[in-house]
Amino acid sequence: MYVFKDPLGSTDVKIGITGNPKVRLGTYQCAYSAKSHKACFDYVWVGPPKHIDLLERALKEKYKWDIASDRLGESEWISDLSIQDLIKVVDQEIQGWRFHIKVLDADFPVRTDDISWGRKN
Amino acid sequence: MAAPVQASSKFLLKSNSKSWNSKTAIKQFLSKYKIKFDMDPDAIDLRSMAKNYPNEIIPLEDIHNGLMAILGPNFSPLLHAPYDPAQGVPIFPKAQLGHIAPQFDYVEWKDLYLYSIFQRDVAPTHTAKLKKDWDPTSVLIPCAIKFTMNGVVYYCIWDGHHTLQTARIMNYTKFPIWYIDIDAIPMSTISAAGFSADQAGKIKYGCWLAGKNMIRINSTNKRPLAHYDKFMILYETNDAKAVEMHRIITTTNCVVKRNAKIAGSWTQINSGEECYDLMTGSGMPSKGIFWKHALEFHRKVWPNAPLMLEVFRPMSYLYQAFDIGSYPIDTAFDTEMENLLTTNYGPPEDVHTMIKNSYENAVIQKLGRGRLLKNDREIVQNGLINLYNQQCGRLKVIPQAEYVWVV
Repeated sequence: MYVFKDPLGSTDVKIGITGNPKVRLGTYQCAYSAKSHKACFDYVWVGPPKHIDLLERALKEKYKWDIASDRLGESEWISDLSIQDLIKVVDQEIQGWRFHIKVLDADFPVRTDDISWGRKN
Repeated sequence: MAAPVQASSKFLLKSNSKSWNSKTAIKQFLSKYKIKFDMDPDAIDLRSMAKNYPNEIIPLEDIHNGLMAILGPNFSPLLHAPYDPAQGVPIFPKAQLGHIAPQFDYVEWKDLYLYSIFQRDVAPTHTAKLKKDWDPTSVLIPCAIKFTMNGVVYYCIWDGHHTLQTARIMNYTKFPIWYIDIDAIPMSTISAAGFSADQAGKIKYGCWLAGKNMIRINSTNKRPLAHYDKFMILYETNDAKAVEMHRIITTTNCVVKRNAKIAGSWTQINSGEECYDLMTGSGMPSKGIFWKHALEFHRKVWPNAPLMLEVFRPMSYLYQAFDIGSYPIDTAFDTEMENLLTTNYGPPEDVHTMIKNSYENAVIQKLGRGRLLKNDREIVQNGLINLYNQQCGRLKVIPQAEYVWVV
């Protein structure tokens, strides 16, 4: 599960999950030039797919009224939330559900070139 | 002149629908309320919504606005011409004004009939059940079609037959009926619907209408009362057992909910009732002591998770088994169980699914011994006992697993 802040400067944060982080970052990079912004994950957690899925669901429920719209592409953007505050909440959820989820052992933010893990294509 | 107006409103509708977004509409609707509440397509949480109003009584218009926020502009009342049934506006095309709107009357027993082609068989047991719980204030008005044949007026019931038969047993002398007067329907409507334009066709038309409405009411559009609603109504109207169960829910920091979305939400009403009803080792009603213990355990181990019946139910039965067998149990047992479950599995979903998977595997590969287990509850309960014995075992004497396998 990854989170990143809006690269274009709003105070919104995106939550997502993937089994193939390299491809996912590449997809995000497609939307803008790397000269403007290098697509990155600001924070990443790893764990069993089912636990990650439940964690994402719990967060979307927690922030359901902070997600402005459920239109295509907009349903994962949480309004006015800092990455640091989100990390605290994620940590509480992991403890409160006893998920076997850990913070990725890496320097954040993580960019495409930093990724050597995840599912192979 | 009518066609261009229709076309233009159709266009407007499409353009409104494009810009309309349910989430945005719901957020806008909720912004007017201090106490927020769940708004899902399958239910708007009216009990929480009511807390925003003096006396907790909600104007229907406000609920309508909530429905509009979820359903969107295609459901706007403005898409329909105003209709006032009290004015006798025709409900069928080409009908005469003022004659065929449904009407109410108190009818004599001798005028009431049953036409079996659009009614189900009568169930004496259901009539007996209604009598047992009979209260004149609870009677819904039975529905009928009214027609005249060979000079005799017939009110043929298409809904509420058991209610009427029970009212008869209760010695009612007049019977409330909501009816449609088939005699008033013009022949043009009858023939337009494909029936012959004569008296026989008119009655057939009435029967067709009654049959369609009977199925609409009893099948197509029937919305059974959800367990959640039933429990909350019982609780809020002071049913003794529901009040006791609710007290257990609140003292264990749980909350009764329709959907399992928030921490501690209890949605599996029937399973909770089953656990509440367990008997003690001395043969007395437990009044929920094992269930309460299981809920306390669940909330302590997974404070952010909704209650999971596949965990709290086998845990309740496990605590009951300790009591039935007079096995000593201490608080350390719960701590040990917590460590076993969270280390081996994690969230409650994984506890029961992984135990069940290991049981299935043991049975298929014939790796276990003992009686095959009957249901999921037994599998998880036995799995918990096996897990404890295999990975902890501090308490040497605990309830025995009926099927032993390596969990």
